[in-house]
Amino acid sequence: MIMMDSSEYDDVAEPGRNSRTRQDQAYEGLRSLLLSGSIEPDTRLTEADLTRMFNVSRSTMRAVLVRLVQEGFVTSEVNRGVRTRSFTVEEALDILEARETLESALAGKAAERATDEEIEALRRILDEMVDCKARGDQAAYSQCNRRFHQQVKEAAHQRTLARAYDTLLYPLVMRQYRNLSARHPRGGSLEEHQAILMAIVTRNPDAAVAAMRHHVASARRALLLQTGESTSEQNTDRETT
Amino acid sequence: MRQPVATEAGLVEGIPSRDRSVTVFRGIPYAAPPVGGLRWRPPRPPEPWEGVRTAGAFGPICPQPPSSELAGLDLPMSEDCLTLNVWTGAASPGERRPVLVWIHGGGFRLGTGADPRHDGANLARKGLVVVTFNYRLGAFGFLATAELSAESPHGASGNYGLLDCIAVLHWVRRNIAAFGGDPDRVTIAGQSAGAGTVNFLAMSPLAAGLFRRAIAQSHARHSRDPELRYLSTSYRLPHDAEQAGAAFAKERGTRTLAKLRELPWQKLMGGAAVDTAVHTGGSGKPPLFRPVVDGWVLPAGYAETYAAGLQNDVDYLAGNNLDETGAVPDDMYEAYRSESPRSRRPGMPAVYVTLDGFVAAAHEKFGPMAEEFLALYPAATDREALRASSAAIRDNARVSTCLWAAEWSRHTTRPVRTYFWTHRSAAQGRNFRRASHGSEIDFVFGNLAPQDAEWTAEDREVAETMSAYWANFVASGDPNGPGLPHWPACTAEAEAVMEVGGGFGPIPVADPPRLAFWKRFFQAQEPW
Repeated sequence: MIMMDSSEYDDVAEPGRNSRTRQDQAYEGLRSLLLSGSIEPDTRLTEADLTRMFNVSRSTMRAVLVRLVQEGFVTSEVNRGVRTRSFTVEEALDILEARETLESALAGKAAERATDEEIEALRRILDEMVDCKARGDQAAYSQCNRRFHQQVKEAAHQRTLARAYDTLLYPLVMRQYRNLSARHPRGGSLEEHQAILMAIVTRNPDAAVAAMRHHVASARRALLLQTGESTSEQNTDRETT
Repeated sequence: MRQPVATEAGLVEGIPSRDRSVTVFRGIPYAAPPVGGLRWRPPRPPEPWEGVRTAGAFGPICPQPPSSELAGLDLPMSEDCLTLNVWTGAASPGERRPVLVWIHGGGFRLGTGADPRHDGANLARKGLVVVTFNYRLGAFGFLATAELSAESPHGASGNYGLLDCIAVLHWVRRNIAAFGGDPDRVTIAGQSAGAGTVNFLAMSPLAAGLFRRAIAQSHARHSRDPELRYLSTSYRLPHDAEQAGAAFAKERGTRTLAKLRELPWQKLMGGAAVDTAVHTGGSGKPPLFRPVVDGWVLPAGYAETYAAGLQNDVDYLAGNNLDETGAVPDDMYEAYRSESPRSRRPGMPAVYVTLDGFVAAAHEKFGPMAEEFLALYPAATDREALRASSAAIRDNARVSTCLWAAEWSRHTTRPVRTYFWTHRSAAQGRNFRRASHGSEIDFVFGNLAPQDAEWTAEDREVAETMSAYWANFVASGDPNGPGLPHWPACTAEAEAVMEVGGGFGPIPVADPPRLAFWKRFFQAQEPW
């Protein structure tokens, strides 16, 4: 839910809600800007532009950039300045391989540990995906897709794996290498999610691991990684796993 | 509306919304991309396209300070952002349904027509055709410079964001019939900066005849209310706006317009968020980039326009909320006492949690009338100061909007209705129930978004009533309808306002002695 109308302009922020420091706000804002694909890979970001954009001091922005460099969202090199990440095919494949391993393990744990409420939530999201696909609502399908994967992660109740999963940069990789001319959602995507849910519902960890591994690998194969061809064209979200 | 719809620029195909009786068309371009040489120019018509354009996804959001909230939408940011969205339940273009054009808020620097709170599906189910859209924000929408004014045949600059809104209204006029909408029954509505825009369009000769009704949700205020100068209703004069524009260009190391147009959009973000030069009698300050009384889009300010009766004669509905512009519920006292000053956005109106602060602010704002004010809103402790301050802020808002209605109506014929929104829902806000700025939007649209929040049966009932009032007003200019508590038009004699939300019925705008005080205070202020 966006609250910008209510938290900005002539209103007073709710205490507690906006108590994050300016550094946190700038960090979140820049991170989300990078994830949204609004800035092309390997674009130089100058400190002056960023401090103006976020209305923070240079030292605050420097601290934000240090965090984002550590997390791999941007690179910082002498003479080249701070730039948005651009992944080579090898780097992209490395990240996606890690994702296959981590997320299939999370799915396996979800099959062991998901609560009835969590399974119900997954079911609801999947129902919505069916509806989105039937209506041809690609944007809503993509959002449900993300919620599904987040929900599987939560249902795994495995904090160490979840933390590792959260640090993967695969959303950036997907942005850079997605195939904008392919059919969306990808053929088989919905059925693969159904297979994952079935394995979790029937409490079959091995099947959940296999179903998730197959799903994430299929998504990887749909990217433009074979030729190394990259696209930075800005388009509304077409990324789906 | 499953078949492709013919617009002037080409065919568009929508998709069914969750409620299959409604079709949504997302991301239809209503203007050429305002990039390169078209940056800071009035919007031009969109490039026509061949074949059928699938209108399944929202367009990119206009450049604005990024926020994690916005990230939830997962839309890219791009200067090429002038698109609109249509929701319609009409089965064929032959229908003539009333049209609601919604103008999003966000201080002229934030926001998008893709905000899920503005999803038009529910109101479309009630028989309206709903249009939301993006307009240029911040420097992109409101930069004024001497060079820009000089290149304009009207000698005007700084209102590109408003011109985008007017372009949408022209688009609606020429295209909405194809979506089953009635081009002669258009209502413009908005909240916060969207409400400010509604007030401006109501004064713009460029928008004359393009809409019949107007809804301003926080705020429409009397021309002598100093708060007008920092709220979304605030405007600039050309000289000030051009000076700020020159400073903006200098900050970016450019002096010529040609160079400014060459800069990548990322370099034009930000800038001073607040215009500190404006004297508002308090801590509230407007954003720097906002509309300009440029002599073209906006010929004159409020007082002059209303006195001469130059505004567009339209049905009007306007109101304020219980917990906004610095008024907060009593039980938030501790929270504000312990609030970190670092979390406050500059320019926000203060919340007074100390007696000293309250008394000092009263002297600053009311000058020679301060003692009288403090006698009418007495406080002896810090906690009482918060209560007195909130009561005064609410009275100020209700009285001001009521007096605005009288001022507006002096030379117009159409009725004005005012409201005061008081519903405090537990599903909104993190810790405290309050009728905050913008909290009525969920209820007006009847969406109760997000859907997974814990809305109560009472919330649903309030949403049903509010969306019915709004739909009725858009359809006929009268919010009243079967089964709804009666909402009388505003008259100079009554000095009452319709409470909506927490209760439904007319209430006095203020106690008689307080009402008399506010009238005298406004009378002593400069008209604006």
